[in-house]
Order: sequence, then structure tokens, then C-alpha cells
Amino acid sequence: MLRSPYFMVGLGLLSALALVASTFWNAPQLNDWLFRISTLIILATSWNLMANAGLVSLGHSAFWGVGSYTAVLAANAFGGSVLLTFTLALVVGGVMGALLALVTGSLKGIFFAIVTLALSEGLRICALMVPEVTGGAVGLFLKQELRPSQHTLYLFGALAAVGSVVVAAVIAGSKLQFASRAMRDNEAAAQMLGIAPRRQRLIVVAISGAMASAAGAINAWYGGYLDPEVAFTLHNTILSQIAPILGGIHTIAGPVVGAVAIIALSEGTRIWLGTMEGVSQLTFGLILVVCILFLPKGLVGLVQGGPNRRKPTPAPRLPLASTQGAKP
Amino acid sequence: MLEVRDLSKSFGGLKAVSEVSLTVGQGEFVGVIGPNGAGKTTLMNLITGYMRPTSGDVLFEGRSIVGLPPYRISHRGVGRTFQVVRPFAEMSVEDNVMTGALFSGARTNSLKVARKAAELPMELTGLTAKRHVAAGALTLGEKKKLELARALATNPRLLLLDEVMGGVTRGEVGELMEVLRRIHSAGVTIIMIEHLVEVIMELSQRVMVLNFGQKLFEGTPDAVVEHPAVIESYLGKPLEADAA
Repeated sequence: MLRSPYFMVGLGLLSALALVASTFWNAPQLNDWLFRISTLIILATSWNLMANAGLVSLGHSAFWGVGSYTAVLAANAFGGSVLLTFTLALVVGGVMGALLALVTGSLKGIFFAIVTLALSEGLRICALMVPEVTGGAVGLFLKQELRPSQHTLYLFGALAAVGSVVVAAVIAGSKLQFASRAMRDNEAAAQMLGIAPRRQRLIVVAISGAMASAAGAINAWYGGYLDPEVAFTLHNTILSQIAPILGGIHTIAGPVVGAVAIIALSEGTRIWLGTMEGVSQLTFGLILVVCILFLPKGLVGLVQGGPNRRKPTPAPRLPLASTQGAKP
Repeated sequence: MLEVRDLSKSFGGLKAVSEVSLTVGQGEFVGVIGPNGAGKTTLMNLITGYMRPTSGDVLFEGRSIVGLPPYRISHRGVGRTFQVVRPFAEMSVEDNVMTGALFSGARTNSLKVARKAAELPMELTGLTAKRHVAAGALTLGEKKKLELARALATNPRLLLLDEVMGGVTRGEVGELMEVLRRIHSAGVTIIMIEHLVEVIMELSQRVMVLNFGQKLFEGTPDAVVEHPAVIESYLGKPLEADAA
């Protein structure tokens, strides 16, 4: 039953409905958890999209931070609504993703990862250097009178999370999914089948960037305060990849399951072990390490059956040209 | 259909391919042989855009394809298999073949159309029964067949085969030869690099012999085996020793 696609789709729809419905229920602590789960779902889904195409991002906080600033600055400057600034953040994140794809060209693996890490750190420092715009290290408050009720934001977050998963599901059933997987496995061979890697990469990174940026925008409305350390915190970069890996990388459900698991785990350890200094975080970290060690296909792999074993590591891929002439 | 003009490629001081010219007409089946390191695969990389030639030109159907990226050359109607197999390991056999149809052969947005277009290549190469198997789990021989199936799915008018028989069992060599005959008689022009000389002799209408990056000889299969320079450089060795 657990392997049936209908069951999975049904379960997904029910969870989506429950998440959206929960925002109408007044339970502040639960609402807060679900809101954080929602934004993490978007962020993790976004990271997973890039990972699907073989692009490991170590800089998702860059998109998140830019989205956050877009929301706060646009709101403060011309009183933009949540929806307007959300849309703006989508566009800005998308453009930024496209630029990243153009700049990185055909960089893969660790080289691409380093560029994304540098982007995120670079933006953090840039944000510190322009206090006229960002308020520098002092930070920036979103105008209090603009902020909608928390419940509006809960709902917005939930809908956006559902939307991001729907986008991922649509992509999974499209041509783009074939291009992504082919590029992940072997970009050189993919070209001979007519795939233009740079164009496909541009599309993937732009969509992924737009998503992460939008998540940051919603979160900025929720928090109401930004400084460069908050906006570009490495924490988001780490969570964005731990969630899909814990839940099940390259799957649609993985980032969702992982996001729920991470928030549950971090809150659980905080509540039960929070009184002891450091123990809660140690436990959190320990459980994550154990899960990643023993569940390489993630929590989703547990229920989907099949051997939950790590695939043999593929041989390292050399740059395009040099692999060709190996044996002329 | 394909015209290679004085094509050269140097890596530093080494001339991997040196002023090679070759003209292949519509519907021909041309074999390329030569010892290891003769520049056969380099020649193929030059034709399909994986490497830029140092000098010379490649014309496909009258237009130069030098400088075009491989995917554009694929769109023009050139298909290719790789000597070192490059399956998309995590994708099923069917998805591998479909990819070729999606982006080059049918060039469609519909997965349904692409799935249908993948049927014939899979059937020709005998992979239909393995359609749901992950490509990484195939044997080397099956992976070679998958290379061929994928290239066929791009619906090429010119097909470049880089040692498709390598790693294939003896019995399968016969089957694959039959498949290649069928593809050829369907109107596809084929250029084939192969270490199994008997395969080349049987299938090709014309054979080019490369040695040290230069064209040593070009002629009918019969003329090739009798040419003294060819025998000395290549056929002088026992055939079986090179079969791998």
C-alpha cells in the first residue's frame, strides 16, 4: 500500500489540506512550528531541485537573504503588501538564480558549491557595508503598521509550501526532470542526446532561486526584523540540505518529510533537554548523524521499501574534454 | 553528407589527428580501424563537437559544424555512441532512451510521444525486457547496446559508432551486426570505429585506416587487408589479441 502512487498522492493532498487548515486554528506554539516547517519545506524543495540536476548548493542562504531584504525594503519603501513583496522576491530570486547559472557556466560539483558558498558570504558582507540601505549590523525593522496578523502569515506560508511541492511535482513529470537527471549522471553524454546543459541549468537554478528567495520573504514578514547575520545565516544553508538528505534526496516527499523531522527533532530536544546546557544540540546533531549514516535514502526510503543501501560511489568525473580522449 | 577536410588536432607537441580528410556519402557504411592511440576517438570527438580542431573543417550536409556544441550537432542529425559507456546510471533503460527522443529525435514536450519513440530503439537492441532496470545495473554488453539505443532515439541521419562491439559477447556480436544492417538499410549513414576487424570487413563498404593520427589508407575492405603498410601497422598482430 505504501508503495502505491495513489496512496502517496492522497497522503500528500491530505497533509497539504491539514497544513493549510491548521492555520485557522488558534494554537500559537503549533502554528509557529508549522510556519517554520512551511518555510523549511520551500527551502529544502528548492535545494533538492538543484541537487536533482547535480548542482550542490552551499549557498541557499544567499537566496533566502536576498528574498528577505527584498520583502523588507520593498515594504518599507512603498508599503508593499505581503503578496506584492512575495512576488517581487520570486522575481529577484529567479533573476539571481539565472545570473548564478550564467556566471558558473559549466562548473560542477565542488566547484559550483564553492561559488554558491562565496556568493552567500559575499552578500552578507556586502549587506554589512551598505548601512544606508540595510541598516548595517544594527539591522532593519519592517514597519509595524504594515504587518498583517500572524494567522495571515501562517496561511501564506502554508500555501506557499504547498505551492513549492506542487511545482516540484510538476517538474518531476516533465522534460526538465529528464534533462536534470541526465545532467546529474553524465553531462557530456547528455549533450549528444541533444540536451543543452547551460539552458537547462539556467531554468533549474532560476526556479530554485525564486523559491528560496520567496521563502526568505515570507519569513521576513514573520520575523519583522533583519540584519545581515540573520538574513544570510549559514544555518539556513545547512538546514536546506539536511532536510532533503534526511527525508530522501531526489524525491518529492523527501524535503517535506525532512523538514517536519528536523523541526520536530530540534524542538523536541530543546523542550526535553533544553535545561542542560548544550545537551539538546548535541542530541540533535547526534540523531542527524545516525540517520544520515544508516538511512542514505532517507526516511522516505524506509517506507518505500527496497534496499536502503548507499549506491556505490560513481567514479569521479573529469572535466568534459579530458574524459573523451581517455582511449583514442 | 559528411565531409572532413584536412582536420588536425594537436595536444601540445603531439598531433593526435593530422590532416585527415574523409568524404562519406548518403547511405554509406564506412569503417575506421587503426591501432590504439591512432586518433580514432579523437576524430570522432572532433566531428561531434567535444573537441575543437586545431585546423581543418567538418561539413555536415553542406554546412560547417566546427565550433558547434555537441547538442546542436545532435539536433542537426548526428548520433553517436561512446566507447567508454556513459549510461545515466540512476535512470531506467526506458528513461535513458526516452531522453534521446525528448531532446533530439522527436524533440517533443510530451513524455508520451517520447515513450513511444523509445520503443523501436529498445526493440532493435533487444533491451525491451530490461526497460525498467536501472541502467547502472546492466552488464557492459547491455550498456553498449543502451548506447546504441539512445543514439538511435535521437533519430540520426548520420550515426557514429565508437566500438559498440567492445565487451559484447560473441553471440551478441552477430545479433548487433544484424541490427546495424537493419539500421543501415533503413537509410542511416554509418561511420564505425571497431577493433573487431572481421566486423568491419563484413559490414563496411569502405574502410579508412588511421595510424599515428594520419590516414594510412582508404579503400574497400578487400583492398585494406591486402595493403602491405596496413598489414604491417595493424593487421600484422593477431586479431584475437585486440578483440577486447
